[in-house]
Amino acid sequence: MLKELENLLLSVQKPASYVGGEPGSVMKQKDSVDLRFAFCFPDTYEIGMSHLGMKILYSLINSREDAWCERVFAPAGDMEKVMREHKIPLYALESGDPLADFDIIGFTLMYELCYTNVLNMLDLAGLPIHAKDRQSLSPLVVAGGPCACNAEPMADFIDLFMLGDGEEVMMELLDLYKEWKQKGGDKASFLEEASHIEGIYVPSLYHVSYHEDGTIRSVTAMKTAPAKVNKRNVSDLEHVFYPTDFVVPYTEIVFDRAVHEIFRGCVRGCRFCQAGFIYRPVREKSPQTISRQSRLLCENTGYDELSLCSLSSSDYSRLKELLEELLSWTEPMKINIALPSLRIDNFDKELLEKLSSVRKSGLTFAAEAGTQRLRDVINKNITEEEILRTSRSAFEGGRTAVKLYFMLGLPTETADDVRGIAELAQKVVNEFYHIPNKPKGKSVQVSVSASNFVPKPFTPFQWEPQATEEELIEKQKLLRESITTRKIQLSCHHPDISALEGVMARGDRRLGQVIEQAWKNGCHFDSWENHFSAEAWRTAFEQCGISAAFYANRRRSYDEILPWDHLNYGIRKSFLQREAEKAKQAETTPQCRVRCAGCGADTLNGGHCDARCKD
Amino acid sequence: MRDVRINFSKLGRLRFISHLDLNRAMLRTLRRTDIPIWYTEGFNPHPYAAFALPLPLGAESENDVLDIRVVGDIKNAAVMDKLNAVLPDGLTVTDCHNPIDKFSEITAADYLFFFEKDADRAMLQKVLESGTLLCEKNGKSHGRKVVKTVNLLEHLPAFSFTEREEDLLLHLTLPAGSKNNVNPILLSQALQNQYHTQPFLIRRIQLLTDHGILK
Ligand code: SF4
Repeated sequence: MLKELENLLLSVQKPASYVGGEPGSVMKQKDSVDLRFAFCFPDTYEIGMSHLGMKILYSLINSREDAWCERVFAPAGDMEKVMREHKIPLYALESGDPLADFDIIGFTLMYELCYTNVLNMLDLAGLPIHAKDRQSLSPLVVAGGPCACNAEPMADFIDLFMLGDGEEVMMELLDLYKEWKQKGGDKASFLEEASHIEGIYVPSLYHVSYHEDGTIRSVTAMKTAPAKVNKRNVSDLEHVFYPTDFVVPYTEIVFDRAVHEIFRGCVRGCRFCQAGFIYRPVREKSPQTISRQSRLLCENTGYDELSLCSLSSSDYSRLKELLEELLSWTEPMKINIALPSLRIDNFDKELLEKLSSVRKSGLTFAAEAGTQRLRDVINKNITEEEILRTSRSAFEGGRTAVKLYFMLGLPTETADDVRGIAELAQKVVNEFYHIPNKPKGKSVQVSVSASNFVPKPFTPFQWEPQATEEELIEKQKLLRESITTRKIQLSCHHPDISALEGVMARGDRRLGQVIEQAWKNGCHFDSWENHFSAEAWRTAFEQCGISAAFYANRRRSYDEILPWDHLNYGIRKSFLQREAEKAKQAETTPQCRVRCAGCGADTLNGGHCDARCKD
Repeated sequence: MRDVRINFSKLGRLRFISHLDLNRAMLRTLRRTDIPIWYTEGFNPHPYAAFALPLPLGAESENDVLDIRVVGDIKNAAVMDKLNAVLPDGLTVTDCHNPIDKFSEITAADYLFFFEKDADRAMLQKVLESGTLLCEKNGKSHGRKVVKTVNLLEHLPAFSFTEREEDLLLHLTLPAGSKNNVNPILLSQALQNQYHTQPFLIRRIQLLTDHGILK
């Protein structure tokens, strides 16, 4: 590492996040590999290091003898200042080499509000932020992650996107790149060839034209690029690569533990949830494979906690078998198992006792909406009865805190629905006072967290207008006034941050100039409340003459061409439309294990879906 | 059940790892081996590990000391080999033995301060002999946060210089332990603030009791 840098590190917070060298980090000789890949997470070390996708791809790329993958995170403000002052370019943690030395720079886009950080990192690396200004093959700037399902706002900056599951497409991309590098091929021909790989979307190969009203007239594929780009789907989770080791950080990060993914996709079909659709179809891993792989992982990392990750743990079909399998070795090894997003309502009590997540954390419910009507609209399958019953038994067991999660601004929401949130929370409080043997001298604490609904692509609500900032402020006010007891604690999210998220989520490529302008106005770390500047963003929209409301608050018609329509995530538009209509009637759709709703995601998986009841 | 004393070095970029982080890393390292470690009882069992004297963030160490507790039959040499097999770059076990001294007996520590070749040796010597180098330190008094001014050279340190081809070495013995402790990083910062000279590297060489090197 640079001696100059070392001397500066003691002047910044958390220097350990800038030096690498953690157990499990992979060192190679740069001269003995053909490909150098810089995996960039556009947020701080503590957040990025908690991200499972990065751990998987890091190990996967490093499993190749011809490639070396290193990690890069966004420096916090104090570190950025030091780096800019001393002209230290953004470097990768393993080798300390600047990003410009790498063949491929890969960003993972976990949330829309990281876009300015991507620009800032490219700039800190001394690279042109626009794809068209980076003329040589290296460094190639690629991106993946959930936001790739509509990354049009980033189309000006990224050379290609990887859609869907990364494991297979990443390897094919590296192979192609290596071939091009060895034969000295140019960037344009590389990008065209790459567009033929299933799951790769090269935005510069698509021409977008617009109607006078600003909506899209057409999206045309150029050269030999496919008209529609399929997301990549890994069909065999049993045999797909899974890391046997993680980089184990020295400093504390958000989630510092072993993680194992137990299945992909979701059977629920909550209409607001993008993840619930874009990761479909459902593909499960067997308990034996999960157990074998996660044991290796625990042995290699020394972690004393194993978290089983999925969109909804309770929906894993062989959960009991899996837990018994795991407990047979985690107990003697003194490893806790955490099962996030578990519905504990009708779960084996004895097994439950042995799970740390339930033991440690309080009881939480994602009720999402305050009335049954609205929960039916969003297809959130949880009832008041279930919430009250589970709370009661938790109170009886000596617990005194319950957390409830809601969204404000959902489609069809009325004042009654907003007041319903306060009423439901009040009922939980009452439940506490109704139990005969309540803990003496203790009071109950119900926390209500109200986030703001943001309509997302590939959901039945993709055509819906998002509530405006003013509307959300009104709703928050109403909710606050409806709460009459100190036993209920309310926390709300900033409407202006949600508004920006909404614009980006359903934006098109014209937003690139706004992102660039906002970044020039000083925006970065927009997802951090203390960094977010609504003013700087507002100015950026004005400077570019672009209306945020056009993207966020407008109802789109079913036949409008949406900016992501040329990307195929398997989910049929007709299915989403059907769901959207049912939502308007507050009609629910049963979860996949009861009946397949025909979402279409199985078409990318050879017609298979592990959620479909055996018919 | 018995304690094993581990001497280890923590070098290079690991000097940016805080004491707390090192503690956690060591516990995880122990779990990565098949050393029969003793676990604490209770709600959240973890291996036992006690460090002799925390190393301040920013300093490296040639010889740090840590006690762990093992159960069952295992030779000290095996503990050393098993740990070295899994320790990350920068951490190396140099010796394992049965503890003799108590950590509470530590009274001083030896340090090497690495200065650039052109550092003003005469000036440094004068400062060290003056017996005064003040610095402000965050402390607590009656539970409240206060800023105290302390004299880092209150106990005149033993020191010597070595001029080398590439740099200037200052060998320095400072009070250490629970009674009197001088933080070498504070000393380095005070030198920088008041005399505009600072070592580019600080290395702790060994921990001392009144009767010699900590055993
Ligand atoms: S294919 Fe059917 S069962 Fe599978 S995720 Fe889609 S709707 Fe559910």
